Amino acid sequence: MSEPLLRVKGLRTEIPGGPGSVVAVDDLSFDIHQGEILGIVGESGSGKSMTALSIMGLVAPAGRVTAKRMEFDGWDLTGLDEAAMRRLRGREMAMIFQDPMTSLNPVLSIGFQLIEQLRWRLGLSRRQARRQAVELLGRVGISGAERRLDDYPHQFSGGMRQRVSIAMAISCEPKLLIADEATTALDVTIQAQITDLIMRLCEESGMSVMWISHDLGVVAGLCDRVNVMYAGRLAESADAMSLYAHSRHGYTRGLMKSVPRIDRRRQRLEAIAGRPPSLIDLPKTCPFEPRCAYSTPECGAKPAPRRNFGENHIAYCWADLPAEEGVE
Amino acid sequence: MSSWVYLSRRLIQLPLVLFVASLTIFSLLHITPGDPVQIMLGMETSPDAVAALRAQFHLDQPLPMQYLIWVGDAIRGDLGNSIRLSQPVLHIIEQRFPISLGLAAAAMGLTLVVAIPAGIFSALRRNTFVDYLITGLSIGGIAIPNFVLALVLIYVFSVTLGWFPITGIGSRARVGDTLWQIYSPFILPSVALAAAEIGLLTRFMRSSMIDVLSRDYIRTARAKGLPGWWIIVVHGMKNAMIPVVTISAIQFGYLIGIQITIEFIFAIPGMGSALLEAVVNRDFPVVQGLTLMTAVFFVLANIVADTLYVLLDPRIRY
Repeated sequence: MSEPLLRVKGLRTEIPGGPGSVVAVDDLSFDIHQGEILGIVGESGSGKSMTALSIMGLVAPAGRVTAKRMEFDGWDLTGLDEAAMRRLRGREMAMIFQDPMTSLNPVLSIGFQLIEQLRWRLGLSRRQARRQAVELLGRVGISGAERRLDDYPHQFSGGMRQRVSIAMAISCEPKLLIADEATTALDVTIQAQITDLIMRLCEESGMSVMWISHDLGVVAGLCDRVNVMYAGRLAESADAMSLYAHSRHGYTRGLMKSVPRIDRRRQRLEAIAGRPPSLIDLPKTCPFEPRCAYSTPECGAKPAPRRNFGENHIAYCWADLPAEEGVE
Repeated sequence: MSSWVYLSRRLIQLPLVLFVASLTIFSLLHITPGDPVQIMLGMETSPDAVAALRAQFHLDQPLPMQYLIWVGDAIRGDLGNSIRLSQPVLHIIEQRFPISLGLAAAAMGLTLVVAIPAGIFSALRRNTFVDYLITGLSIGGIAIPNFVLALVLIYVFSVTLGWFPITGIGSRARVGDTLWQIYSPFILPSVALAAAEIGLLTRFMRSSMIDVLSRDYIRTARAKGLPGWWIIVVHGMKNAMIPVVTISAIQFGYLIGIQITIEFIFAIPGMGSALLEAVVNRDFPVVQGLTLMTAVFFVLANIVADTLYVLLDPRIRY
């Protein structure tokens, strides 16, 4: 395969604080290829958002990001200063955030917020930028775009605001779009619309997408490949089909059992017992071991090995998980 | 236009506030012991002369009646006559209010020019030495009484260094006076007056900016790759200034009312020194008039604050 658009090797993001550093992301490696949709799944605190912010260079000044390699479209992100990172952000890589109610500036009109980016980043004239902004709002499905340009965020519903956020994110035609729980804060019906919109836009433009979600069910339908994260580390990474056919990590298995299924009536959902560990001074062994239903004696003793299961399927796990418990 | 509805609702409150203010001023003044006429004429005057003067100032009427007479006249623009200076109170206000307003404006200007950049700088350099220094100075400015600061300033900058004059505000400008001669007397009093306001507003600006910079929309602006100064000025300040503008409009109203000691120290012929003289002499029409004027100004400053709030925050209009 050709060079990936984004190559991450040994990413580590630390947030210094009171009793000890929180290692939000630890030794994470993955690639995103041109046009690929990568899902990142995990529960709250698993390091999904921190991974995104680390790539975008938005962790500073609160935290420290280090990586063995972090290359994006020929750029070595580990060596870029803030000024150079800024030139990539919003232009080559863009991000949509979780909460549309707070991610837009309340005292600036949405037109202003769209136009400022077009003018600063693409160098368009006032007139060109305005025309472009109207066109963008149309593309994300906001009717009467010309009129709505001068409206403020509070005059839009949550779904509409998220459409505006999407318009801003795609305005400079980035190569990578990071959607961080972009639909989580929305109504279910709106979630589907917004998901469809993002998928359609990336099909049209050939953008790569990093789709962050805690919902394994949604990710299954959307993504080419899925990374499952736990406690800041990669647990399992596989093609969506392969992952659902035969998951190889105890945590992935646990997540799947906790998703309600429409084809099994009165099925008892199995919650994963216990809580995620504290990210301060985490042992080198598998962080999921205390909660794992498939735990073996090695799990608590030695760090989990990186195991390959066929092409593009890896898991950090000691146990050999039976196949029949997967999705048939 | 619902922003006008919002503002007119505020304006309707104006007479109500003034009613309460006038009643308070009147009551406080008339329950304090000491007969102004006695003080003015001395103890040896004939009872007839005392009675005549009491009648002239309606002091022979029952208190509610006196209040109604005062308010009735005030509404028609007549605040009565000074007992001591035998001139209309309105005339005193005309002469002295511009001077106090000028001093308040100078102090306010100084406050804004110093406090806003200092607060923003402090917020951007949070928990560094500069931040601690600015915070320390702010708290010092709030803690030091303005008359103490005034005396220190006079000693250092007028007596020792001879840079600025001590007095001179309100003296008639002559042809050929330089701008320096006209405006330099304002410098020390406005610094003394502004110190506490600068301290307050700097603290306020700092916390407002820190709050705003932690908001999601600032992260969005960074994710869009906008320049750092643009994010701070356009996205940060436009939000952070909303509470700051409101506070400073109120501060401006407040500045008119707290000038008494400063005017006394710098021999400024403004409302404050007139008020002080009037209180000492029991010149109650002057005290009432000047205090009411201060109250009116304070209420107006509040209305200006509300107006600015509506203009700055689009969410208020709907």
